[in-house]
Amino acid sequence: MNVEFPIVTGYFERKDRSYILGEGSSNAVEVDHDFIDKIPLKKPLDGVFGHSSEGDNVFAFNYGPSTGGFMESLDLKIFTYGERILSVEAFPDFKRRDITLKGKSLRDAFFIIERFNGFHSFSYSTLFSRAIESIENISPSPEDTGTRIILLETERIISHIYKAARLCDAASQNIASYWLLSLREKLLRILGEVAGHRYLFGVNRIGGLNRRIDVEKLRKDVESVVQEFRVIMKGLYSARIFIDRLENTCITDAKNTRGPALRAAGRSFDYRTLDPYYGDMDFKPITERDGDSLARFLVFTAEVDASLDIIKNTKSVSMEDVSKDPKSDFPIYSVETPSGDAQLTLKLESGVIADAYLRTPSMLNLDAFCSGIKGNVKTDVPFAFESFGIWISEIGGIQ
Amino acid sequence: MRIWPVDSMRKGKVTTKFPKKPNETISPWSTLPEKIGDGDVECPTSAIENGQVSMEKCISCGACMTSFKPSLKTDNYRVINNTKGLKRSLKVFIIDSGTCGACNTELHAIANPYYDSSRLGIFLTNTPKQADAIAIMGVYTPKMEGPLLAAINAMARPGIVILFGACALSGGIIGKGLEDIVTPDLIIGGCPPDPFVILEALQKARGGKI
Amino acid sequence: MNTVLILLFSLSLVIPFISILRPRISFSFGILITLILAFASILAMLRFIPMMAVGIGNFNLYFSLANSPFIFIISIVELIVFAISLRYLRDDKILGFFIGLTVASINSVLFSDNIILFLMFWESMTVSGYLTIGYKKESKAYPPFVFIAFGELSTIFLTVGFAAYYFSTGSMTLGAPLHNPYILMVIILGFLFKMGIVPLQMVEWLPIAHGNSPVPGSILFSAAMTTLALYGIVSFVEVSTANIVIGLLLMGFGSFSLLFGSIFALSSENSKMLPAYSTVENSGAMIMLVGLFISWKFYGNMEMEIFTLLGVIVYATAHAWAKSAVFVLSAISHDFSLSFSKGSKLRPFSKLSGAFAVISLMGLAPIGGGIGEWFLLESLFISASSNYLILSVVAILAGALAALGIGITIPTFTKFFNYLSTRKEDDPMGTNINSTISTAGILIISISILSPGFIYMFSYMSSYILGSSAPIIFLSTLKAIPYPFLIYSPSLAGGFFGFMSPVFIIMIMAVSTLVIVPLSLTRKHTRSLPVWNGGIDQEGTFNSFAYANVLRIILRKIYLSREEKKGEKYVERTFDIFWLIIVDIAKIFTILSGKFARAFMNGRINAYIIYIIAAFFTVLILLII
Repeated sequence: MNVEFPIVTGYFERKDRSYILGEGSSNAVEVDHDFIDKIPLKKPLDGVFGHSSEGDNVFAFNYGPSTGGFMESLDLKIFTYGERILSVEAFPDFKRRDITLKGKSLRDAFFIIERFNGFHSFSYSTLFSRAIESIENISPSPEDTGTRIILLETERIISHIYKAARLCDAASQNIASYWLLSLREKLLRILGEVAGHRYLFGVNRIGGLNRRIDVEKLRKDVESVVQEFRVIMKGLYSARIFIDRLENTCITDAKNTRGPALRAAGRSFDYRTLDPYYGDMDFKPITERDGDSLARFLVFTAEVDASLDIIKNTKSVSMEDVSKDPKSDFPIYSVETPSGDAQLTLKLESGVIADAYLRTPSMLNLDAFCSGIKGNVKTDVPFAFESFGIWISEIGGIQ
Repeated sequence: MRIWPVDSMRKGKVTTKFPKKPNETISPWSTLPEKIGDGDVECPTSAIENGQVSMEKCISCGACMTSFKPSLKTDNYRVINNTKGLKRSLKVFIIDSGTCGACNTELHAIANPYYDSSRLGIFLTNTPKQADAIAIMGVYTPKMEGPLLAAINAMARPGIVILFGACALSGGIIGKGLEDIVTPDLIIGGCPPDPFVILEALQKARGGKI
Repeated sequence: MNTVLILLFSLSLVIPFISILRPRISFSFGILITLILAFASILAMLRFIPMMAVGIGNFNLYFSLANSPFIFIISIVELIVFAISLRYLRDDKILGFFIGLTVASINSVLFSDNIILFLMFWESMTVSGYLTIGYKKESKAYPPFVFIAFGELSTIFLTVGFAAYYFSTGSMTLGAPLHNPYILMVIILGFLFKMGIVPLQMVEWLPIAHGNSPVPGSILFSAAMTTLALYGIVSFVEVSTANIVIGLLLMGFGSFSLLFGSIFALSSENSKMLPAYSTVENSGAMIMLVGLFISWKFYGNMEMEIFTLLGVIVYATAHAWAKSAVFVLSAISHDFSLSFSKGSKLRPFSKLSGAFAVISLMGLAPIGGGIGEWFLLESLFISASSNYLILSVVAILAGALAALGIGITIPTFTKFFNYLSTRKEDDPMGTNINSTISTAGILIISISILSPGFIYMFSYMSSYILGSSAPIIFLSTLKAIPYPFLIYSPSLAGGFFGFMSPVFIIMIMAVSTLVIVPLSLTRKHTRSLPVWNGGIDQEGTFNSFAYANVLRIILRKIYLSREEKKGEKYVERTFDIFWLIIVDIAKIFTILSGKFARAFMNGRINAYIIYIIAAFFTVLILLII
């Protein structure tokens, strides 16, 4: 069966059958094998992006896997004849963690997913627990659901602040960078205080939350941090030297990107608009048109404000009326992580995981980075890379 | 237009006085849990033996919260070999073998204004050839084994090899640890370790005052 | 004495003819002769042997203060040419003959004291030089044709200029004072074309980089002929009435040439084209010094006149010798592309000698080129601080361009040296250059170590040639530096303007090296580690094209570089903008002169040989009779 999706965001194979994930769809759809071959999606873990170049004087400039430049282990082969980048081939498989969920108990699987991407840990733990809750028909209390949204948005704010700090660091805007880092640290300390862990490990559980969270305090503190963040942004938006470095750097189109990168390229897609958690909220995705690093920067810094609005307005969300869709073999569960929407398909058999596939935004964004960076110069690499919020840990193999 | 230096002055000082003065805060569940009750506890990594929690194995999940509470102590590390001659300056190179990203950002956090490791002469560096210490984090991954050993070999002597975080120490819940292929001089537990713990551990390992 | 002069003159004429029989013997003989000439010219400069002149009809030769410094410089260059020919050409009789013929013509030009004789040998040098390069030509005809056309342009200007000189002064011999600035300018232009000054730089690089052109030929083109053209300019300027406009124009030309020469040199990928462009740059510097000389002559400041003339000669010495060594270095590889160079192994001292050469061309003290650069910059600074407004303004503007260009030479020669001297796989096709480059290295470093001697000799000569009553020697003493180890520049208000002491710098460097090296060798804890490449093995190399690509991208408009994609392959192409214009002109010229060319220069090499030999002997016989 071949289907028409507006945008295919991932695919996987199970028992010699191929499935694809589409944007905004709630089911993984089975397709022919040949159909998979035609999809322009790449397999990041195999290290094959098809971006290598050749020509007179062209050589591969190696960057990585272990450098101080990237937060994680990533190897880039920059094809160039000096300065100008003809193409970039990325090899994220150096730190490939082959994580096996199959046959794991729900609790162990939950802890693994929580430590899948530590930086966006709460997003993934929420995604996983929501999938289980949906399958097992568990309804968390409305207060817990509301708190989850608040924590999700707090995590998003932290992630965006960190991205902004990394961009400033790359552009040698050291004062702004350290200031932003101190804001992030302030938020992490607040989380440590109210939730018991700076990265929110152990806060979530299937069916609710483990710890009582002082939402009012969190709300107040996040608001003060965001206010300070606005002051810094006002400075950065007018810092010519900073803007010049981001403008026209790594221009991507809306194809095969996720999250802020997608919205910066002009597509108004944010899974939160479809997410029943955010059901009643009057939430509009923030978009920009240019698709360059500056556009991404503008999108995610504006999202900090949007997230604060959500945090301020969320009280409690009742999930009683959320419909479940068990028709397909592989229903898709999604959540909008700070880097874009993650999609999870899950199958349980007698209380243990039988099958799982997780499509993370970084899988697509890394390819978008590789395509977009063509034609830039080598010094643009950090300005391009940090603007996506790519986490290599997300590009791991989940069995 | 912003005048950044003026703004930074106006912002004032946020840096901690640690380790001269006690730490202001700590990520509670990143510290080792202490026993408070006798309830039956099922630890996902079997870190609890005879009421003691092993720092190598504890992944800060909080599953033991019925009988345990966080100790809030900064002693979640162990110096195996004391290294002399690094009191004035210590450059740390980070190797990511297979992390979730949290250990990386926590170690980078020691450079932020709240901790400002440079006041203690601790810096992060971009090449192992300049490094006095190598912090290895994450679970074992086959393709990073080569770079990891090459970095330890390239490090200046005397140097400190650090196994950082529960994943590197035991593999945590994710995979296999690195304890078999690396002989550490310092181990730091936690999932991820708190910056205060990192600072104290580094200070102790280089023979500095705590 | 006349016999000595005729002997000195005719010695080099023998070389090509021995070469027909046994090239190796002729090269060894050439080395002997160049040594004799160099020694004789030192004696002449110090006035140990008197000025010699001989005239049989119009066949006038001379050997005096005016040509002895240049005979000195060029004979050392020729020594290096013969030394490398021993290795590089081995038993190539034809090429050996052409090299010998070019050398003979160059020496004959130097000895000529008659404008007709001068012109004749000049022409024979152009054609025999061209044959050296063109006789193995493989590509289509027009690059060598463009070269010969522009080479002939030089001859045409000189012919016109010399004719006017004759009518103006009534003298056929050189050294008659010329009062007409226009005639002087025409003559200078004739020489400038030969020096390959921007925008006619292809006169310099084209023959050198083209096809199978041999390395000894390149040395002659780049080092000897450039110095010869400089000799031509200097010998006319010395005796003529100074004109400030010409002085300032030359400063302008020179700085422009310097800047563009160095820009194009950095982006060169060919190990012979790069030094050729560097010659364009150095020619610019020398022209600037000549311009400064003319300006100070105009203002009548004898001390500055001597200082700038001294600068010209020191600069020319350093440039010619270092450039010869650099071309010798390029002979190491069979492949002239920098990225793909490989060759025989270099001994440590050879490597050091190569380093001396490139550092000299970078213009870094205390190596020779640095001293020359110091003369240029000091003259510019002194001029800038003078009371003559126009001179100081031009000195500042030209100095700014020159400083830009000089800065660029450092990455240029770092790249050149790095790609030629390291990463060697043994290639039997490469030439063993160890002994030649070591000799050249010793000569180059001798400029610094023996700098008091050189400065004394050249100052002495310059003072007398400019008619100073007593020689002004720019050597002095300061604190711990005893006489004569300090070189100084004169202040317009009297006293020192600035000073440098190459010997002193070398001593400090040598002493500190002697201390540091043993210390570092005795350290116990040393480990050698592979390059850190992010944790994985090194693969792929940073090629020489990439090295200069930053500049190529920044100066896209000048280089006219384009990125092209042919199928799956990327190609970045760079063009020399002046070359493109010249090619267009040349195409028109080719069409216009098609018939003429077919009738006269019919592309067969034999015709050229017959032409030159016939012309050579005809004129000789005619003149003697």
